[in-house]
Amino acid sequence: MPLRIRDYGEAHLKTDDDLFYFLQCATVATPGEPAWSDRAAEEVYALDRFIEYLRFLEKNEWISIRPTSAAKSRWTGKVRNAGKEWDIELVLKDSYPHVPPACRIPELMHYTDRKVDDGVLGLRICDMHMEKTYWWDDHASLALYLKREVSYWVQSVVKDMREKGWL
Amino acid sequence: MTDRYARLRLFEHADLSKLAKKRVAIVGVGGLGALSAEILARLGVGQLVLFDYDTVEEANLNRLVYRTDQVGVKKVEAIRGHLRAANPDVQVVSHPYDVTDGRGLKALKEETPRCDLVLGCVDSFAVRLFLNAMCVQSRVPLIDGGASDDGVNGSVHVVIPGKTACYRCNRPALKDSSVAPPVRRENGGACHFTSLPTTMAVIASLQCQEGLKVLLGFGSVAPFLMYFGLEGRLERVDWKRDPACGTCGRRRR
Repeated sequence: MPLRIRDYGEAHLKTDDDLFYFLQCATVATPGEPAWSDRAAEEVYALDRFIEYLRFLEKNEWISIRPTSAAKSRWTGKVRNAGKEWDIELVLKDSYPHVPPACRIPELMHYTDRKVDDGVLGLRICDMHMEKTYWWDDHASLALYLKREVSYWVQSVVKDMREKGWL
Repeated sequence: MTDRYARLRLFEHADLSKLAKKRVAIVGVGGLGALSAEILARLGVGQLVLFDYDTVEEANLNRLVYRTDQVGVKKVEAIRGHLRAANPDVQVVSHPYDVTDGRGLKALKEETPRCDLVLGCVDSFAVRLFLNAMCVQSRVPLIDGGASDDGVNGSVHVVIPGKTACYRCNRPALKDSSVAPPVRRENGGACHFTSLPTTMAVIASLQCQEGLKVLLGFGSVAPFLMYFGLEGRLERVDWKRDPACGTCGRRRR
């Protein structure tokens, strides 16, 4: 029976390290490989645990996202901050999980220079900053990417927008 | 009439004419890769396989090789003519695609095992690790080069699969508690870094120098070279392989 964060309990789940137990995937497979269905299922599991963590422990469910393509290589949903809500899209390249996903939040990206042009997938949020403390590896999940990269990006861009009176 | 390789034939440490039979892939032909491609072409490397999905922009013109009239042209196409003009003996194969997706990934998987050496000239840590894994798996040497965000420092990392430390070795692992938490970005955060043609030329030259040693088997290959431009210092680091490295280790977890 897979562990759920609620069962694991608040007493145990105190640090990022505890959460990482839930947010890593065992299977390493790219979207074109036979084992991808296992990996995709693990991604969904990790994401569910992350949402559960946000709901029960952080009391701030700032993200909701689900796979929206048959191959589970495109995930779409909403990201929330400051009482507002924006569309978010994660796109997995053929080499995922050897490289991180590309993330787009079109409405917020319009207001910031913290973005890079992928050249293939178009504009995406800039994750160059993660290179300072590079943590991505083949077992890292989309949920972990949301937690360790996207959440900080959204917070900093929203802060900028508020300071400039755009929000 | 003087032939183009006359001076190279005088080189005493190795027979440079053997380069004509070598096939080298260059991933990324921007400020660094374009220069490395030109150096290897002038040395007479037989076949160059170039990967880059990008097009020449005005912002690229402060560095070497590309011209103003090439703005808007795919980099691999723009450099092809330049290399042909520099040395018509060299065969150039170009792939204007992203190596991490679709046709580019397929081409990289096909080309890597057929090459004697891969030069990594990319600007993303993720793609560096990806190339590293691909080369270790194919047992093809990789020489990665890069410059620092401030434009004055740089490094060259030689990965000889099974012999030297790979790019993943000695990097902090995710589960390692010493990994610093991600930095909460407050202000700034512009996503463009400076790029000096001088530093790029130093790094491209070091990358090709090590490449020559790997291809022809002379001298002592430096596993990791760090260049400090402000101090005018070059430092060699003999990194050891990590037996538990997730990419090349024998006790891979």
